[in-house]
Amino acid sequence: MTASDPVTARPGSNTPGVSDAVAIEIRGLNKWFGQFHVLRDIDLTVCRGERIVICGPSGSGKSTLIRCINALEEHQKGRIVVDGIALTSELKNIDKVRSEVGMVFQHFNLFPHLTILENCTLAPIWVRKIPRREAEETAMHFLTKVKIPEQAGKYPGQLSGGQQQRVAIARALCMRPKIMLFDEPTSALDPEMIKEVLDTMIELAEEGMTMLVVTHEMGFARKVANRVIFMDQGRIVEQNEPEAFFSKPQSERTKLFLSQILRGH
Amino acid sequence: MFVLTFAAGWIAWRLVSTAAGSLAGALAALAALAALAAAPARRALVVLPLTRILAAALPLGLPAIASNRFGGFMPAVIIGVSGIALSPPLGILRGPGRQSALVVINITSVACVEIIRGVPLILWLFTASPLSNLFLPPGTKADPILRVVIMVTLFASAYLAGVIRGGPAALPKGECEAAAALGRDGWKSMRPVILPQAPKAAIPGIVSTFIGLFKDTTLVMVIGLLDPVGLANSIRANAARTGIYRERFILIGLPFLLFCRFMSRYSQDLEKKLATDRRQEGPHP
Ligand SMILES: Nc1ncnc2c1ncn2[C@@H]1O[C@H](COP(=O)(O)OP(=O)(O)OP(=O)(O)O)[C@@H](O)[C@H]1O
Ligand SMILES: [Mg+2]
Repeated sequence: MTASDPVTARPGSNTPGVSDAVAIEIRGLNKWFGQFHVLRDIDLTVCRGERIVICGPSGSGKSTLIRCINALEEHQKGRIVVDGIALTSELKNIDKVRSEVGMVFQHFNLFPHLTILENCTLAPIWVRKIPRREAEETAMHFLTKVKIPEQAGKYPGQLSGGQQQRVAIARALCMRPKIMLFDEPTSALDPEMIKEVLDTMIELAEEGMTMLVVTHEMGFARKVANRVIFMDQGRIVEQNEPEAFFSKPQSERTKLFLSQILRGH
Repeated sequence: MFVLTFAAGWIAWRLVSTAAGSLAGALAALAALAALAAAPARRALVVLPLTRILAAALPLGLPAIASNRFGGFMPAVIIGVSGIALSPPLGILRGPGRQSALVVINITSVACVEIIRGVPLILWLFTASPLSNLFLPPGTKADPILRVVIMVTLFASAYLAGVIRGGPAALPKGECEAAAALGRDGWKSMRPVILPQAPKAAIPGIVSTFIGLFKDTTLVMVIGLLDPVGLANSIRANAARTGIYRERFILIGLPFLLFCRFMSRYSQDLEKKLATDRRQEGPHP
C-alpha cells in the first residue's frame, strides 16, 4: 500500500478508474501466518470472463491466495481490488466483495441442517433480502442448471459427493456473483463423480463467468483455461496459456511438478 | 421440556441481546427470581393463582404444605425440576455475555461463571441464607426451598454456560467459512447456520449437567431440609427399624436411577430425532 503502487496512484481507483475489463487486480500481495511467509509478492490481473487455473505443489499457497480474494484470509501487505472495490480492513468493502464473489470448497461445506433448496436460498434471503418465493425460483433455476432439481427437498447428507458439489456451485450462483472461486472442487470426489462436476464448471465457463480454479485436473485446464498459473513456495513461478504451459514449461520446478502429476494420470 | 426451556432461553436471548446487553438480562432474571423469593409477592403472584388453578382442576382438597415441612423425594423433585427448567435460559444468556464486545460485560460474565463454578455447591448452599438476606428487603424471609432452587439454578447455569458455548464451537469450520463467503460471517451466521445446529451438539453435555444437578439435590440435607438420604438417616435412628439397611438404600437409589435413566434416554431420543431427518449417513464426514 505504498504511494508508488500503480493501483493506489491511479485516482479514484475504488470505482471505474480501473479499466472495466479488469475483474481482479492484485499488486504486491504478501501474507504471513505468524512467522511463516505464505504469499510472496504476488502480482496478478484477472480480466472479466477470464478463466484461470492455479496449480502447484501442496502447501504452495494456492488456497491462501484465492481465499485472500474474498477476504476469508486477511493479507498483511499489498493491494487487492475486486470488481473495483479495494479490499481493506473496512467491513463494508469485505461485504461488498463477498457479494460479488462466489466460492466453492473442496469439502462442499453445505449446511447439513437445511434442505438443498434452503441451502440455495439462505444467502439470497438473509444477505440480499430477496423475498422467499423469488429466491426459491432462482434456486430452482440454478439447481436445474446443475441438473439436480429433483433433489431440492433432500438434505445434503442424502446426496452423493458429486451431487453435493453441484449443489455448492448452485448455492454460490444463486447470489449471482460476477466471479467464481473454486478451491480443488473435485479432489474430494470419487473418479466417476469428477466428470459431472467438471462438466458443470465447463458450462459455466462457456457462459463467460470469470473463474479462478485451483485444480490439478489438467484436462480441464487444457479445455477451459485462458491461463495456467504455477505456484511454488508462495510465489507465482510461471504463467502461460495452457498449450504452451504444458508443452514448453520454462522453469525446472514446473517441469518437475508437471512430470509428477502427469505420471499420476 | 428441554425444548421448551431452550425456546424460552432463546427468546430471552433475542430480546435481551437486541435490547440491553446480556448482563442486564441476567440481572433482570435474577431480580425476578429474588422478587419471587419475597414471600408476600410470591403469595400474590404465584402461589395463590397456582393453587386455585390446581384446586379447580383436581378437587382433592389436599392441605397446603409449608416448604420447611417438605421431605423425602419432594424437595429433590421440586428443586431438580425447577433447576432444570430455570438454568438453561440463564446459561444461554451467559454465552453472548462472554462474547460481548463490551469488556465490562465480558469480564463480569466470565467472572460469574468461574466464581460460581469454582466453589463447591455445598458451600453455596451454606451461604444461600446470608446471601439472600443481603439481596432481599430486610424483614422478608426467603423460603428455604426457593433459596436452594436459586442457588442450584445459578450453579447449574454456570456449567451450562460452558456446555452451551461448546455447541457452536463444535460446528465444522467449513460451514462458517461457507456462510462467510456467502456474506454472513461471524455473529450474522448465528441465526441461520449456527443456532439451529447448536442444540444437537450441546444436548449430551446439557443432559449430563442436568443429571448431576438432580443428584446434587441430595445435598440440601446440609441446610436442614430432609432429602431422601437425610430421611434414611432418621429411619436408621428409629429403634423400631434397626437392622434395615439394604432396603433403605435401594429405595433411595432406585428412583434416582430411574429418573436419570429417563433423562439420558430422552436425550438419546432427542439426538436421534435431530440426527435422522437432518444429517444422514453420507460420503461427507
Ligand atoms: N490458518 C493457517 N495457519 C498457519 N499456517 C497455515 C494456515 N493455513 C495454511 N497454512 C500454511 O500455509 C501454507 C499454504 O497453505 P495453502 O492451504 O494455501 O496451500 P495449498 O497450496 O492450497 O496446498 P494444498 O494443495 O495442500 O491445498 C501451508 O504450508 C500451510 O501449512
Ligand atoms: Mg489448498
